[in-house]
Amino acid sequence: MNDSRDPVDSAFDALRSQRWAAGNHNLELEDQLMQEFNNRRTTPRFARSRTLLIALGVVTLGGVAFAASGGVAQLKNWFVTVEINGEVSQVQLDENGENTFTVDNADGSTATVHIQKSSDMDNDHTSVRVSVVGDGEHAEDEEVRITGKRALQWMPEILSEDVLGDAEPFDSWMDEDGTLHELFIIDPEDGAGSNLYIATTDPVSEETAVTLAAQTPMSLLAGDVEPEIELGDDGTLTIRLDDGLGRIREMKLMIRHAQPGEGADLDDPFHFETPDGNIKVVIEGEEDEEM
Amino acid sequence: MEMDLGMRATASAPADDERELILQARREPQAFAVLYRRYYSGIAGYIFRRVGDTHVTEDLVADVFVAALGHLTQYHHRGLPFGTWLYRIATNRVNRWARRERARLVQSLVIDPPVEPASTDSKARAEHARLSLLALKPKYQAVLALHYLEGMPVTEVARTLGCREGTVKSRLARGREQLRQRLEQRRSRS
Repeated sequence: MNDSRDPVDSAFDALRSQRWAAGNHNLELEDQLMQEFNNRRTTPRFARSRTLLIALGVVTLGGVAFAASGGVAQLKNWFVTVEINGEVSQVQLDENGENTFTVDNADGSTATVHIQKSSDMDNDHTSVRVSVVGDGEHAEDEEVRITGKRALQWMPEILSEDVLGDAEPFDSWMDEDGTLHELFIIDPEDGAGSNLYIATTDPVSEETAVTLAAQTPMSLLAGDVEPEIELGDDGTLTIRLDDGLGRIREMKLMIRHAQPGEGADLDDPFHFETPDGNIKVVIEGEEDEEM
Repeated sequence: MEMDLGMRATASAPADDERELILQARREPQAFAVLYRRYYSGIAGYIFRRVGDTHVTEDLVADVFVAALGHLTQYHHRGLPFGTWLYRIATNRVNRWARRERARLVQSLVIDPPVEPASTDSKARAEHARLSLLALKPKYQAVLALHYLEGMPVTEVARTLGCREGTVKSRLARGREQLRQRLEQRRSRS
């Protein structure tokens, strides 16, 4: 072998020489697939075709730099991977920290995925928001909020209680430690949709922190029927809207708090998926290798 | 550059034939079996060259085709060849596996006996190359493997991964450089 060859090219040559020698197809796997096919055919179609049309993910990532294995990495960009019903799209944010693309749903409707990155005034944390909005008439909607803790600091934006005005909470629930959570739905005057706020009151200090949990593209309050709110055992908040014409839209809000240190390694990206696995979001930072 | 059977099938399969086959495969298992046989060796070869283990490859190939079967109704024939879609699923599965296994694989790279670059043992050289590749971040592994091992042009890699061509090019350049560093580290140790 010529030792002067580029070692990278030599490595690829060596790998290309590795052939899959176990045959042109695997009959056992083919049988399994045929059995799987028949099993799926006997499963009720509705159970398989539930399309989740709204997913909203927000992950708050600490700092423009955070600890990666072996040191502190400067983050240059974000890669966001969104998988909806098996359709995988990986996107890199543009210079404005945004990207929008569309995904076709099984029912023929189109879901629009919008990703936006923003930083606060001090640039000490960065938020990446992923929202998937569909227009399927009969499909269910699901909304996911993700909050991630990275490195040394994580802090959701605490809003003034003034944003709640005189609104009454739609629902409230209490943790085992006595922390009170109240859900407010408010339609902003300058927007078409609704803002969902969660007010959390500490049982000891009795201080209340208000955070914006989600924003919906359509108003939840515009119809004649008030939404039904239900908190599941898994922490999923389900908001059910009946438009009075027999059409029911469901939105599920999931609040996911990352464990301390989770996702702090660049090679272990923050990921989240809905319990049914239909929507998966992975957010990973790209380190600036030139720094 | 040599292309694997799966990619040749992607390139040569008549679009209309495949479109009809995919529609049939939503209803008829035998039509899905035709697609499976058409792409099995290409997908298996791609996965095998990345993971290097027959059993892991078989498991991942099964995952890919079960996922494809489950999501066939969501696959839309809009210029994205069926084979590209399968490679996308396969890349996702292998990247997930690589993330889990990477720490162990990097360790095996450290304790693995050095291989002389001029070694004539092609299997050993391939294993050394594979471990060096697996030490990179999965996003670099994927573009390098699809482009240099599977023979996909940059545009095809971009479509497979669902990202921009510029992203693929920059990952190729960085991935090559990082792979070179890994290989040269081993070379200096030997």
